[in-house]
This record gives sequence, structure tokens and C-alpha cells, in this order.
Amino acid sequence: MNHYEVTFIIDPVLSGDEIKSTASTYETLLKDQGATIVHVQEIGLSQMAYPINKKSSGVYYCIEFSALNGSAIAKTELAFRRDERIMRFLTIRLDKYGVQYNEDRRTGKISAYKKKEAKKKPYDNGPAPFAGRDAAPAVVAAPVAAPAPVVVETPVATPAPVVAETLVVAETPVVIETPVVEEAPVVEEAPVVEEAPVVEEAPAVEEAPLAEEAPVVEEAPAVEEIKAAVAEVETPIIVAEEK
Amino acid sequence: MASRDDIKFLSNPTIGSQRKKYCRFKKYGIKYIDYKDSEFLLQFINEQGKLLPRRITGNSLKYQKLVAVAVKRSRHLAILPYVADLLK
Repeated sequence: MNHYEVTFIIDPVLSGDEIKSTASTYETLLKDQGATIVHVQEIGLSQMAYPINKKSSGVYYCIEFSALNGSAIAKTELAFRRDERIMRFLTIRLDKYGVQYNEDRRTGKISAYKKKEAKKKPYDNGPAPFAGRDAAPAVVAAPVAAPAPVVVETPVATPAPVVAETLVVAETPVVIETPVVEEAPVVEEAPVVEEAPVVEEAPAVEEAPLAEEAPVVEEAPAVEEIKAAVAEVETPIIVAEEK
Repeated sequence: MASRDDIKFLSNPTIGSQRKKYCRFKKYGIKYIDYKDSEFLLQFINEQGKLLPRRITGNSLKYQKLVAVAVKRSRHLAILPYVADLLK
């Protein structure tokens, strides 16, 4: 008597009844061939390690049977191949150790394999170095939000306090560099203007707010507004530079 | 003559002696490797799903071949993957 084991995977989309009937048809097919069924094990629905026919899970069945010769196997395998509900099958011949193993498994002498716990070290080196490294980027990422207020504050420390009231950010750069920079951005506009340079040149903003802000600021406000604002302020130094 | 207590070494003299490797199947009398037991077979494959060499697992030749056969069968039945990443 040769002992064989066939494991096959049934399509999981079928209803439970259909799955059971599929498995039983193969059981009867084997019986008709003259094989004695030793055990039918339904492992059930389980995740597959890789998709087969675009499906990621399947119902596993395992039938162990014994027969005088292997003639039953060819017919069964042909039926497996023809059946569309069967995704995979594998027939193996069990040697005496395999038979013994399966028996012991059924009677409970062999338990499922348990993973051994990792050995505990007798010493403890403390937390791993660079453990907090992931926190660092957060600081770098912040500047997009941070520089806006920062930028506002630093240029405000100009020698012209009066100007500082009406005009906003661009003041300091304007006074020093003498380009046709519109210091004028009205207070409401200031945040809009500021955000542009901040977003564009976030990392470098803290270093050189002067150079970067000036060209960007130029585009935003209208010239008339600038002149009006300047006229209001009437600060001799700035007016002269503009003109 | 200096006694054993007086002799000091710069590095631990026990360094270099490895744990004696043995074939677990021979030692524990395991005769059959079930291809359906994925947890057991994970011991013999690396994180990419590849079979580990005999010099790492310590198996004897006979059982290394049986392990390989079992792993290949389970791969066919999608119990273990052929190719994987961070398997363990």
C-alpha cells in the first residue's frame, strides 16, 4: 500500500457549500478509483504568499489516501486541471516517516512549531545611538511657517520707526540697497508678499532676507500705492532714494 | 611562576570559539519535514525568502535536501513566497 497526499487550493469566491461540494467530489473520485481515504483536512481560507490568478487568498484542502498503485493519481490530476475552481494542486507520495508524522499530528503528539524567544542579553547598553534622529527633520521643515514672523520682525528694527509703522517687511532692504523697492506694501499686503519669498526660499531666508525679498517684493504692490505711502510718511531718506 | 590569577589578557581568550553547530533533525530525531508548516520552514529561509546555506543552518546534507524540497513544495502552494522583502 502506497500512501499519498494531495493538497489543493479552491477558489475562495465560491460559496461555502460550493467549496465543500468541490472537495467532496474529489474525495468520491478517489474512492471510486479504489483508494482508501485516510484523512481529509480542511485547512480553510488562508492568505497566499503571492497572488494566483489575481486572487490573494484561497481555501486549502489536504486529502491523505492510500492505494495499491498510483493509477488513481493520473485521473485525479486530470480532473484537477480541468476544474476551473481549483487554482493549484500538489500530489506527493508519503514515505513511512511522512505517514508516521501525519498520524502523530492527528493524535496530537506533535504540536505546532513555536518560535523560540530571542535570548535576553545579560547587559543593557541603553538606547541605541541616533535614536532621536528622525525628530531632526521636523525642525528643518518648520521654517516654512517660522520665517514669516521672523522675517517681519528683523527688518522692522530699522532706524526709521515711523516708516516701520505703515510699511512692513521690505523696509530695511530698501533703505540699504537703494533699488526701486516698494517699501510701501500696505500692512495688509505684507503677509501676502512675505509668504512668497518665504515659500520660495525657505532655507535661505534667515540668512539673507535682504537680497531675496527685494526682487520678489518689487512685483507685488503697485507703484502708485508705494508713492502714496511714501508721501504719507514723508521720510526724507526714503523719498530721495525712490526718486 | 605566575599563577593563573596574575595572567591578564588584552582580549577575552574565549573569543573565537563558536557554538558547536549541529543538525537539529539528527539531534532531535525528526525524520519528516512537512511542507505545510510555514512557521517551521521560516527558520531555513532568509528575509528575502531564499534558502539559507547549510553552513549557516547547520543541517546535515540529507536533511538540507529535505528542507529544500519542502520549501520548494510550499512555494508552489503559495504557503511561502518565491520572492519577498522583509519576510521576518
